[in-house]
Amino acid sequence: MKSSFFICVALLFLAQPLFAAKPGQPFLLLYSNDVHGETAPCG
Amino acid sequence: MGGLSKKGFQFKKIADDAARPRLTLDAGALLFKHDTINPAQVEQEKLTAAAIVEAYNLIGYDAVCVGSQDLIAGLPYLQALSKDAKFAWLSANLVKKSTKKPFFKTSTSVKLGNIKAGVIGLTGPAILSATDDAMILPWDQVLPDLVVKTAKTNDLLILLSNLPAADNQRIAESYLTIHLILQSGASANTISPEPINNTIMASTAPQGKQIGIMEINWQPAKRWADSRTVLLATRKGSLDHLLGELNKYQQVKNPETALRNQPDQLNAYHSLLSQEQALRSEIELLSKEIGKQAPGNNEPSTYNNRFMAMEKELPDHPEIARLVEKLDAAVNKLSQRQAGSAAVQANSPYLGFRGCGTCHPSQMASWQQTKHAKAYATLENKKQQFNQNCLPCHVTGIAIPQAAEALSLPEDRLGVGCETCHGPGRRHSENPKNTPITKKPGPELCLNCHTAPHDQDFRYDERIKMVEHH
Repeated sequence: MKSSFFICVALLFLAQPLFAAKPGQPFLLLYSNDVHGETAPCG
Repeated sequence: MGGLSKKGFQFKKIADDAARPRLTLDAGALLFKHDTINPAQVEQEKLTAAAIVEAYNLIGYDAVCVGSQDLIAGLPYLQALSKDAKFAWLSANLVKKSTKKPFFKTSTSVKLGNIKAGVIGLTGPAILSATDDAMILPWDQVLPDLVVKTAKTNDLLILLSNLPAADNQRIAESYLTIHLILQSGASANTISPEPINNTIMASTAPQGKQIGIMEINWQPAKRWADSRTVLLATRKGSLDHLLGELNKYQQVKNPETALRNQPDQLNAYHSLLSQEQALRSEIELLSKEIGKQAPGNNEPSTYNNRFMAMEKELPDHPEIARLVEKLDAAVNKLSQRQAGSAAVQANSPYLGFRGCGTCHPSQMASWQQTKHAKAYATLENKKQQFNQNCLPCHVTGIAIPQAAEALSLPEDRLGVGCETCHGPGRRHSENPKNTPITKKPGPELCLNCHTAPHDQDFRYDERIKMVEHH
């Protein structure tokens, strides 16, 4: 009885991350548009 | 400004400094300068396009949208070129006319830490060759299903759109699950990101003059902080600032008594107190509204955007710099070959600046001190003197479609000479009285070359003074 109680508590403890909110994901977005064939300025 | 090697260097540096997952995207219209290709410049344009793809490989782009302008050398050319790309070329609506099957990938998925970003591409209206069996489907025929499908397997959805701005606006208003639209071809200027419902739209200035950098913190709730959340943060900031100001008055035990004989100071103190009251009420109200709207764990996602100008002084990405140097050499070689065959019109209506100087020596001397006189030298310094995209605006009397002729001009037509502003001078030199020349050019003439992308700060009234002579 006692041991099954501890198993339940342990399982709940281990399962906690599954119920916890997924943290935010920081990332970097680098973007461009309309480069129009520009490789280097003319002059 | 501008330049692939500067962009390459900055992208790498910013990503290294940030030490967080990076997504690198281009919304399209990257390969070619104009909406059509001058037949004399096809080879040069193709060399440039291939170099751009190679540079994008080195930069580490994840995906690029097929812009309508990227198709001007023909669909088969772009298909062949896309095989050299390490990034995905995307277009969900450029399809085979007969089977409606897309020519390129419709979407791609990029893993960023613990989330996945889905990226979709849409091509704008394009002129396609009848032999290609190709067509551009209207976006509303492909987007609804694709959004549902892509949203299922991704945490965040980004649309690379080459569509007209009004269509992007409609998409943003209708699709809450498209979180970001990066646009091409929609505007000549930057569009600072602004949320429309749950979609942010952005684009940078054209011709590689700028890059867009967005730090995003994407939350599981998959929604951006709404305007009220942003307002709440602003108001809290204002309150902090105000409390700092009030604190200066509250150094004494009783400011009311201490300021009794300083009515201006007392008024200012009272004004700050009432502002504090108003701010506290507003913050309380906003907090209540946001609390109602977002119970539990519903933290909004945030972004912080900035644009970075690619100034001349910035360092270069060494490999891309070498690549551009190699390209310039290849363009030079190609153009030198063409120069032999490109004969300057015999009996050209243009005389050259020395011819003008015979009768107008002081004006010629004055002109020689201007930047116009050194316009060709700047190309030589940049080793671009054979680049037909550059030449028409750095020599005298050559329109863009005749760029190849600029390769074999006499020395006194190299540079922006007298006849660029005053018109062809040969007939005038033969009969000055009966064939007058343009005395002072109007802004429309200057704007042929001083276009916004090349010379954003051009003001006719200011610049004309720099070339005036009597």
